[in-house]
Amino acid sequence: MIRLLIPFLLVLCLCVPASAAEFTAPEVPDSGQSLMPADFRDFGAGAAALLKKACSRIRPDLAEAVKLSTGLIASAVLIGLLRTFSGISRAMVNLSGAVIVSVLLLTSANSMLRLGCDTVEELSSYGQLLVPVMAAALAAQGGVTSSTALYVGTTVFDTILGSLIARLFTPMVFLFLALGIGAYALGDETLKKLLDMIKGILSWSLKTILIAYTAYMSITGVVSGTTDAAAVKAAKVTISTFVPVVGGILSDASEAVLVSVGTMKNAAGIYGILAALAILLDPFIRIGAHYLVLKGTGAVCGVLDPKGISGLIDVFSSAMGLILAMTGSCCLLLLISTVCFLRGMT
Amino acid sequence: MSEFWKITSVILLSVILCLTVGKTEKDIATILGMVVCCVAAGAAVKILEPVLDFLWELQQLCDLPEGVIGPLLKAVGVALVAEISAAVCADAGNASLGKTLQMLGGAVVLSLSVPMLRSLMTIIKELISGL
Amino acid sequence: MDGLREYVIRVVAAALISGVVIRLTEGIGSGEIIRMLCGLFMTLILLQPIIGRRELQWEFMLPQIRRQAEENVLEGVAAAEKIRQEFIMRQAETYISNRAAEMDTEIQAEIMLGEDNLPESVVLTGAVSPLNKSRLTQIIASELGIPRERQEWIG
Repeated sequence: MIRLLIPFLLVLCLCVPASAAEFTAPEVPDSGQSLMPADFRDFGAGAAALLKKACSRIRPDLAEAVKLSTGLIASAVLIGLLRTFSGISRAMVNLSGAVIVSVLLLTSANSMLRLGCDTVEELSSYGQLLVPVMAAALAAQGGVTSSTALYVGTTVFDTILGSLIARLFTPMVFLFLALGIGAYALGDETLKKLLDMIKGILSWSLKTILIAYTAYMSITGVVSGTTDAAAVKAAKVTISTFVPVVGGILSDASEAVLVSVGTMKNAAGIYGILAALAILLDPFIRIGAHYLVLKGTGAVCGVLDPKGISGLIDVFSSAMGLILAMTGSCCLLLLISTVCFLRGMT
Repeated sequence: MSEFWKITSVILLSVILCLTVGKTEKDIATILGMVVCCVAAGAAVKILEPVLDFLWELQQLCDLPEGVIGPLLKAVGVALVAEISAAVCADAGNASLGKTLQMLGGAVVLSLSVPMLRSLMTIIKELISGL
Repeated sequence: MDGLREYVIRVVAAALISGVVIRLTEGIGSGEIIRMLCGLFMTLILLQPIIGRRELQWEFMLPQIRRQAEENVLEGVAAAEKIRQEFIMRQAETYISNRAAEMDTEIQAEIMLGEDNLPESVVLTGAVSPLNKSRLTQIIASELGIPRERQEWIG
């Protein structure tokens, strides 16, 4: 009886809880608190719950955007009517149209841009708290080289992207709007070309930074991960050649540490990803609603007043698109880095 | 506004005088025209004073770079003076002198733009050195 | 956002000044050169925010970032070490308790680890007969590597 009990008791030994240290993701900031799912152990269910909550809150913003759109369509009808009067100069009509659209849209464009900038700042601040936790957890799992390389890469790219968005891209969006108003008020083709150039520069810059970052993280993860995995394996082999009972305990300890830290790292990583999405989704959907409504309005105004304000409305919707791109890039950077830390040495 | 009406009436009177006097004394007509142009230009500068003050105010309020507004306004002054002087020369029958004066005005304006061109080159160099 | 506000005001002011200057010199001989000057002026104002941006030169920040990365690694390794040590201590203590249980004896063991996380000493608490004490001492010495001198018996 006792001989049967011994192996059973030895097996139970493996179930002794091993965690003394905690690797927990930082608490989500207030802006994302209301969107966080109650259960974040299952990523898929958590993300779905998050998306559902964010979409259910879109109605007021959609109503506001539709109100704006109605005003713009009415303006397009008026401007179209004005154009038919041959006594009024084309320049005057263009100027009037540009002024009306600017008055209607500048306030909302400004508030969306401010929302975008605030979201980028919050994501960056949250990333600065989350990434050290993930880096420490990966180092605890034995991924010392990977942890350092991934941390340095994430921090450098995050700093570059954050600085560029705050100091260069945001002023460029304002410049884009100002040039757009000028181009459509004065009918200047040079200004329209400048508009396309600015949009191109912004899109290209964001894409390049993200591609460079993804490439760096993928290559670094593979190279340093291989080194770390080899080191962990060598340590395991060394440990196992001891006194039988103690040697068994030591090698089980390594396995227990990997499992325990891995579980904590995964939990922190999933929470961190959901938190980043919670911070992003509400502003993203609000700005996205404005973007889509303006795009639709531009198309409708293009039918009512082909040579007129539809182009300027498209400029404002492009500006919204640029804001979406900037906020989305920041979130994607944080998500990619978290996934790379979760992937670890594999 | 009263200054404008006064100057306008003086200019119109001098046109009539020049037409009258110019039939016999062409040189007096030319000198009269030149004098009235100077008076009118001086009056225009006086009328523009609030505009110039506003521009300086904008420069201080918005912290615009200092070595840029001054040369820009000087260039405007030089261009206007050269244009008026060239017109007076043309009226006096010296179109070639007038054109030369215009060319001179253009040269001075270009020389005034050198500090701005230098600033632009410095910016471009700084931008490139960061790459 | 303050810097952005100032930038926008500066651009608008520069545009106003350029507008006034161009209107004044429209139609005159040097008007085109004045337009070019105004264009240069606007370009200078537009590019001003991105001159001398040391913050964008991330190579100056690299040593600080590397230091932070090293601190994270040390923190993680220390945490893993703590987890390992606790696990080893619990495992060894449970093993001793179970071996004592086989002899119908109940004891509490408290293991102290030495270098390389190997059990170094143990404090054993409980009422044990001399025979079982001797047997347990032998088992602990041979199977856990803790010599007799570093086994402390209480009770």
